[in-house]
Amino acid sequence: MTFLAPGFLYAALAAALATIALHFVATREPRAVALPTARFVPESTTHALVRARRFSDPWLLALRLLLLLSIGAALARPVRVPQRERIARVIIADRSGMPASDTEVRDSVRALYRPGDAVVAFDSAAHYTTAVDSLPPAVTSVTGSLSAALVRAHAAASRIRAGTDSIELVIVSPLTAAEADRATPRIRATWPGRARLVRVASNTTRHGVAPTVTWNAGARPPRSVARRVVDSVGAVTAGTDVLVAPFERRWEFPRDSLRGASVIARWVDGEPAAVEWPVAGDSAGRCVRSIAIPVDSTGDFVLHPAFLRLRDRLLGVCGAGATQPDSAVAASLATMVAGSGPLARASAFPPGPSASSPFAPWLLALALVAALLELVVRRRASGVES
Amino acid sequence: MRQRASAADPLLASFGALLDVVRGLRWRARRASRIAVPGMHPSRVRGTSAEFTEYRPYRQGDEVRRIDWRLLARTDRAQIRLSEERAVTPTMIVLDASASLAYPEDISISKWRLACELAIGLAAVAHAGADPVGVTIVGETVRTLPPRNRRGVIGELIRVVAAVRASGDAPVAPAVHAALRSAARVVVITDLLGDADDVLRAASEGVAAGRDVHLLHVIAREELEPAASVAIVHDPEQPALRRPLAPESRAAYERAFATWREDVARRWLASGAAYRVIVTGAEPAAHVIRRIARDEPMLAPTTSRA
Repeated sequence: MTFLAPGFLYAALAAALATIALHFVATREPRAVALPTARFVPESTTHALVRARRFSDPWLLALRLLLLLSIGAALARPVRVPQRERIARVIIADRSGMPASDTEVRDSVRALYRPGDAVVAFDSAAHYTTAVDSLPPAVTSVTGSLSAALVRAHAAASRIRAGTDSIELVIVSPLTAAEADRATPRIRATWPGRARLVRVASNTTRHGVAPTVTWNAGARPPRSVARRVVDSVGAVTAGTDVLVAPFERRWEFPRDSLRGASVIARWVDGEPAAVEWPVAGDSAGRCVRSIAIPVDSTGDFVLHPAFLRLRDRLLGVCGAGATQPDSAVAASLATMVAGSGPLARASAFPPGPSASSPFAPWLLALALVAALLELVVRRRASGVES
Repeated sequence: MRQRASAADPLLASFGALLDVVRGLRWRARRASRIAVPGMHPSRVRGTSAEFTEYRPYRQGDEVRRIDWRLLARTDRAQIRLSEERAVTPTMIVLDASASLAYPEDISISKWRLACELAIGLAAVAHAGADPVGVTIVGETVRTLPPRNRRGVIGELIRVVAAVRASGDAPVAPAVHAALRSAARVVVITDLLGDADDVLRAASEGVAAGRDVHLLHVIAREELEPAASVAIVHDPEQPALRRPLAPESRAAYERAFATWREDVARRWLASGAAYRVIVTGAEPAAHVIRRIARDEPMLAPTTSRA
């Protein structure tokens, strides 16, 4: 037997000790003594009370202790402790468009999965599940977010921590650089143990192919139309890169032009600033990219590092604005994600919010009964005193 | 009766020793007596005793035999020979036996015991000076022994006093009035927690009528310094009066009690009576009696915190 939230039990024990002390500090009216000069004592409307160091109302005390301890134990959520030999796994399954084969990911997860494990499926967002057969379908149009998956893995570990000694983090993914962002290393560092990487093949059709880019400052970009009112905007974002500068916005992409296309850059107000779409019928995975970001080539704006990063991303290979995969970068990413040291201890994770105790309802019922009995005993005692 | 006697045994035992200690004391009256019975106190009556004082011219109505014939023969003037007379002073002791005197409950240190010892001791001293002595005990019932100077009157007083237990709340002033009618010297022994104003009024009238009035104000040390523990105190003469005495109210109590004592002393001294405060345990009763007989001041009542 263990408690998921032992703090409540400690608080109940402290309250019980205070209750016992209060029962020893009973008050009574002081003894009456004769004093012929009592008339000189100032009149007072308050009653003088003195402490009596004696144990009072044992039944009332017992019921109050039962009430307090029952509530404390119920809130502490006692659970049976299973055999602490298992190693539970949190399996992170890549359901984005990065893996080459959805079947390979499913098979890998199915081979790794054991009852009691948790599965976190991620694309651009992460989802938690405990059944390997309920994995959501892959979303091939988006790039996966490893950071979101790692955050969700923490929550999944909290849910399965009871009854396990260690929790192993297993990542089933091609681990492309596009799936990591600048927050990924910090989020990974919060996982208190090493991780096992199960690399699957990446979707090469979407990577390594140079796009056909149309980026003309004067002419209308493909699939765009002229804005009715030319306005200005203060920044543009592409992935994790942000370029803050005054832009004159002349073009816009109609909703129809975005069908089958991916947005690779957006204005700061969310409007698409650059889109790409695959070349129809091309098995090589080539794509066409249309960029509606006007750039003033005069001056040193184009030399600014932020612009250079944005440029690299906009001119990168096909695949939702991903930067060009680099084997060295991928290797360092794998090293970072795998980590080192032992597996994460289950006690390192806080209990999950939905962890339930089978004893809590019964303890609360016992507390209710104790409260009712305490009321009856207290009324009876006060009736005897009066 | 057997129960009363056994309860009075400690008193009876203490009176014997007290009478031995005060033997030989003489208690001179503070005022000249108007009584012609010869005694030891100054008298307002100018008589014909051997102790010559002065001559005065013969007036019509004087006894002819009191004319100094030799002086008449030498000077041809009729002079009356005067001498200073000595007279007795009938003494009446009014003893307050109300319930407030039975405090503290331990009779060996109670105000009642001290009052009884003072009454018996002063009666013995007065009786030793050939003064008639009597006593009025004001308890649940009023018991009076008129002033007498026969032998054995002190023993009779002791038996009467020892048989009484302090209780009730009868007024003392009527007894004072009655005593002033039958005695030239009246000693009131009380704690003044009853009809104090009436007693003062009666005493003032007695002083104005030429009586020698003494008031012995008996106070228990426990009244000056109540116990430190928290308690509900009640007046034994007024059971409905119950008040909590706690450390925070003790200072106010002591202030009020001291103020009342000062006021009482001021008013009694202004009346012309001899006023003395006697605190239980401060001095043996014999010492107090000696101070009264010698008209010495009493020890000022003090508290241990003072």
